[in-house]
Amino acid sequence: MNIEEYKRAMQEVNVDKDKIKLRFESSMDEKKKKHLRIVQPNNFNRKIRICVTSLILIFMLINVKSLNNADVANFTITVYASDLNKELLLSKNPVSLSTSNQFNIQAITNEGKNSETGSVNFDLNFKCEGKNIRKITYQLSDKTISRENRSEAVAWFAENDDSYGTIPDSTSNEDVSVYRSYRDNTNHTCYVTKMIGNSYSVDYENQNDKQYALEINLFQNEKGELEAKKFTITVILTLDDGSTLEKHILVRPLIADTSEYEISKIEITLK
Amino acid sequence: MKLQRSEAETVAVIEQYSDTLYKIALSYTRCPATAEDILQDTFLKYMQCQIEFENAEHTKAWLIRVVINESKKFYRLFWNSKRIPLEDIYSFEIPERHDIFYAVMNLPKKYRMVIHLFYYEEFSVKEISKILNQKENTVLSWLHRARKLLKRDMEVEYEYRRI
Repeated sequence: MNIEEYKRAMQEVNVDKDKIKLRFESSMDEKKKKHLRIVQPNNFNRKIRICVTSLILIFMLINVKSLNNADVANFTITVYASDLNKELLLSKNPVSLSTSNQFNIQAITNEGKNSETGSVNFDLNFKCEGKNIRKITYQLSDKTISRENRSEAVAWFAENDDSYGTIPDSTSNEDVSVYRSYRDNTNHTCYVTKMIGNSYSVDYENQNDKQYALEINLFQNEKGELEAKKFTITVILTLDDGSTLEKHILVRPLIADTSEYEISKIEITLK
Repeated sequence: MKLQRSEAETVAVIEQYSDTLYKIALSYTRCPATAEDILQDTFLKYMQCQIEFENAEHTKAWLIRVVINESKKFYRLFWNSKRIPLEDIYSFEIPERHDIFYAVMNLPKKYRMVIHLFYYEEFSVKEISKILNQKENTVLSWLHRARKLLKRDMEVEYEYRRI
């Protein structure tokens, strides 16, 4: 595929500037009249409406927040859903996690075991909200995961670094296990993903300071098709008084095309 | 709202940016008539907007942002979401030479948008992320998947020709 051909095609696409100018000029008079006639009273009414609506919304938000904070045991977990724009409250009903930020890593380098192994990396946008929470720990059901045995693990946590730089000479560094890169005109730059393992903890106050990610392994079944296994993430909250609270999240990755290293949907459910 | 800019000033902007903006609107909506409507609305908005643009780049970025927002509005209306035949998007003299254009136009709108902004307008990933109001990582994912889809589409096309 030669993208230069797209450029050449686009160069042939021309707009009739005179037509655009004419259309613009003819719509101007009408627009001017309309503005002169209606703008003042409408603006006033509009401002009143906006003020009233804003006050109602602020009032509702304050009430909802105070209700949520009323009971520590009912802490909430929010996630970015599949359209990336909404934060949904996690409940017993399955929520589709956003899969738009996925990067597939096929044939992991320096593994030395199985060149067919591949995994898919997602930005993990979990956020816990509640009262008197000091620390949050996310833990996978899998046993301890290291760089050596991660090809056998169902999934592991990673930290994605958005401050991109040039591609490192070697990926043999223990921390920088894999990377994703792109070519931008002349520069070859990359985003680095550092493997964490099967658990990580964050302070409640700055839980979203870093971009944590989930790396899901894809396995080949007897038919040679790719599949991902479901697993559980345990969320452990440590409160100010030292006590702990737990919630369990079932993660179910689904693959639409079993020959592609790509996950089409991730359903998560509160157990 | 008062008009902030003169007609002459806006006409100069039309002269300078209509080509770029039209191609972006066309890429998003895949409908030439709608792209023209979007341009008209965009230039009216430009005339009314109260922003003091720092330089030409700032003006261009603002205009692109408005075109994309207007294109999104167009898509939100359900009667506009019907599929427009690819051959109606633009009449090339020799359409067979431009398979890649139709392949890009056949992509989902977010993918064709990033392909157009990255490869044709030559914006950086950072700039595209600002224009589309998305994370840089998201733009990279879309680019990656768009290229993958394009590669697959083009291969299917070649296989079809061999048969």
